[in-house]
Amino acid sequence: MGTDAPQHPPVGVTAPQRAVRVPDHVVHRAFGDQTVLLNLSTGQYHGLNASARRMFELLSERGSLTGVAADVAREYGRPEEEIAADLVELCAALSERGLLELQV
Amino acid sequence: MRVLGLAVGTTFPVPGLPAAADDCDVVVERSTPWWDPADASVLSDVRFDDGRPALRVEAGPDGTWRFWGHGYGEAVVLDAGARVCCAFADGAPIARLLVGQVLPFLAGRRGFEVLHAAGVVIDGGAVVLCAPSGTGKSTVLRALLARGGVGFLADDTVAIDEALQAWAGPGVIGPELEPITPAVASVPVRAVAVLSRGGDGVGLEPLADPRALLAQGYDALPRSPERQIAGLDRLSRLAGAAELLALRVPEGGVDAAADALLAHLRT
Repeated sequence: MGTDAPQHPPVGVTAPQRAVRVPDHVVHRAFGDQTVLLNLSTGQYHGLNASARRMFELLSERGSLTGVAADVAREYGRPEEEIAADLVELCAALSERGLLELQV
Repeated sequence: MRVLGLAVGTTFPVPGLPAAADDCDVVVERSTPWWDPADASVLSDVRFDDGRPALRVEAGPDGTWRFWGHGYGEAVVLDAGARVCCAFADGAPIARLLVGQVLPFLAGRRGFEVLHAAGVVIDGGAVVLCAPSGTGKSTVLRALLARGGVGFLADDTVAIDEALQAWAGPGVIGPELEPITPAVASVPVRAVAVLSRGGDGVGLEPLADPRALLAQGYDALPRSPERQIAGLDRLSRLAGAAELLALRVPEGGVDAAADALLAHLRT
């Protein structure tokens, strides 16, 4: 994931204060530097590469998008705007697959 | 000798499976099993392309299951998995049903994570060769066994226990059910190679997508959420303890692939 995200993220994903939640039917485990998410509702596995994994960790820890892009940008030495765009795509892709809830 | 981690014994000759002894966890016998389809629910119903039934698995009351395979016969699991009653025509390869379906199912119920995989023992560690049917597991397995210092572990199924030991599958190989004795009953996993076919040359590199490993879990029957999580957990820990590789085998390149894998593991 992170490479197959939809082109047009849902409206509102970008609000940095937006609350997010990993649903109870989603479990995740590390596989080397990647993470695999298991959707227990569908039995499907989804892979996250190293940077997507870090974003997912911060999202699930904080329960919001606040500061996630800035922290990942610092850790990876990349521009924050770039990471913010990746984060939006990731949230949209996760949400579309039932792996993340974007709360109102 | 344990099979997929189970102390299995048979009361009639089955290629690759030992005779029943007093300390067996699972006894396989030839007898006409009682089964009432009215009390059963269908767990799996696999059909041939023309719609005829090929494989059917049903769950009955009180922890009983029935496996039926076209041309193979039937096996009914009783006593919470401690007894398997088989009915089949003389000459029918009931071993295929036992080895391919019933024993992996029973091993999974006892907490093993069963992979659709061949396995060899190299320098005291298991090298598990995962691939979908038809990808060439058995061909690569034979090529590896033809080289020095490689022991047989399994042809079609490998069970991984909580301590990440690989347990040998039934010791039969090839369509003729040629019996072969595993080098050991269990051994720690040192590497897992996910095989694929095609390309111009042999490819051997770290496994890029761990889902290729997860796809090789024995999943003929639906899994409970608890079993799904346990399987993910086990394979995640395996990924941390063993080397995960992707081995691409080109057309006509089985020997080269076997050589490349061995050279890598012995470097």
